[in-house]
Amino acid sequence: MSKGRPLSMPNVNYEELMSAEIDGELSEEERTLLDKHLISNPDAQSVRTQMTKLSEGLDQVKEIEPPADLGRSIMAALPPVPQASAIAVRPRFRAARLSILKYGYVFAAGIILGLILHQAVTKRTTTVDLNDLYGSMAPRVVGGAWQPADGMSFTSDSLTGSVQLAQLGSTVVLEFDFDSIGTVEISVRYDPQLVQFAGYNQRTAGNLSLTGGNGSLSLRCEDNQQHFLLVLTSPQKIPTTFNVEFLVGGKIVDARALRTR
Amino acid sequence: MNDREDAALVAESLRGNREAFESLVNDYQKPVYNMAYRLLNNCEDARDVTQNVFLKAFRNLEGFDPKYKFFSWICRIALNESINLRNSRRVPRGVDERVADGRPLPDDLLCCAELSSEIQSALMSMELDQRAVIVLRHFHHCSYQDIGQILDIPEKTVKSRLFTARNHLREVLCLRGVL
Repeated sequence: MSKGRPLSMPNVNYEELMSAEIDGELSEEERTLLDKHLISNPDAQSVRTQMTKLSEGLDQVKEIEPPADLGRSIMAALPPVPQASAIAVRPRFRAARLSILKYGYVFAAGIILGLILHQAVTKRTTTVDLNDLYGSMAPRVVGGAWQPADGMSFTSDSLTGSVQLAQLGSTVVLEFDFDSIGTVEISVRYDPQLVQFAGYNQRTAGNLSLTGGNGSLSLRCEDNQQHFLLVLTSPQKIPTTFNVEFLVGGKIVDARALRTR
Repeated sequence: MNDREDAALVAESLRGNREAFESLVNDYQKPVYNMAYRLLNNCEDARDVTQNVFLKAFRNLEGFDPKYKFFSWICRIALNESINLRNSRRVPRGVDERVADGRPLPDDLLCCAELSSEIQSALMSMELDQRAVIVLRHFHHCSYQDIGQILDIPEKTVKSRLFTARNHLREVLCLRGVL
């Protein structure tokens, strides 16, 4: 701030003083200088009038209401606990505070939940005939009648590839195609009230495990090359956001929001 | 929106209380959405940015320092997300994205005075760092100190950047016969 700082005439930028005047940031000396300058300079008066009108115009700009479902959509996309990615790198002394008993409960609950979810996913996968959507020799999903909706590509030391989001009627497909160094974990989150998981289809023989299904899918890819499709249905055909995160070594290496149209 | 209440809600969220975080979402989704919209001039991008902002905030809640305002913290995330999205989409500068993406304006904007839409259009002709100071100062009523924290620049730079940005806006709007 220049409050209280004496100004020498040759260094004064009067337009900057006008800008500071709008913010109520003029010192007494600066105000005196500006007023003197304005009295003897009609051009400066014109600039000041414009600055004032600009400021008033800026203050009149209306706020926009966010989409009505945005808050719900945000909450639906959140992971179960805060700072999930930080847990994997949490220092050992903190982890040691948790009792073995607590670990046991968490571990057991994880296994039970995993089994239930895996059964649900397997059941759903077998009830959907994916060959109706695309056969092993079919062109890439984004071609043909499928409408590309959004996509992401990524290039880093550990991960290179792309994800394409395409839709056809009420069916939505996320096509993953990437190469990685080491195991990659992928999290896909969406609003379960708008979207249901229908199944998945692997294009390569890579080792892929998938759990979840109700607003959240977790994938673990243990081979270097992966090409697979996640198939979901959106009966209401409302534009929907899919939050996709890639984790390598427990750390997020890329995260994007992909959206249907 | 009270700083102490926000800090308490963050602490509650860290204990696993999702309703506490939902309160923060309810309080701040509108300013974050508006900030992203003013920076990117695209409703769907603003929605994506807002969603990503709260996801990142949730994941990094432990990194929030209660000495600072939650709003400043989340605004900084929003600014970075907006820059990342703008860079990934690479929409040519100077192009009015409302026209470029072929989507209609939101109803609220249609109701705005002509000056408001001219201002938004003029904002899009500016560099994003200049746009950001105007948005923070005039639309979110941030102090120089807050703007400095959000943009990680000294207050003196905030002042000079505001001057440059306003002068640019003034010249553009004068050329268009608005001022």
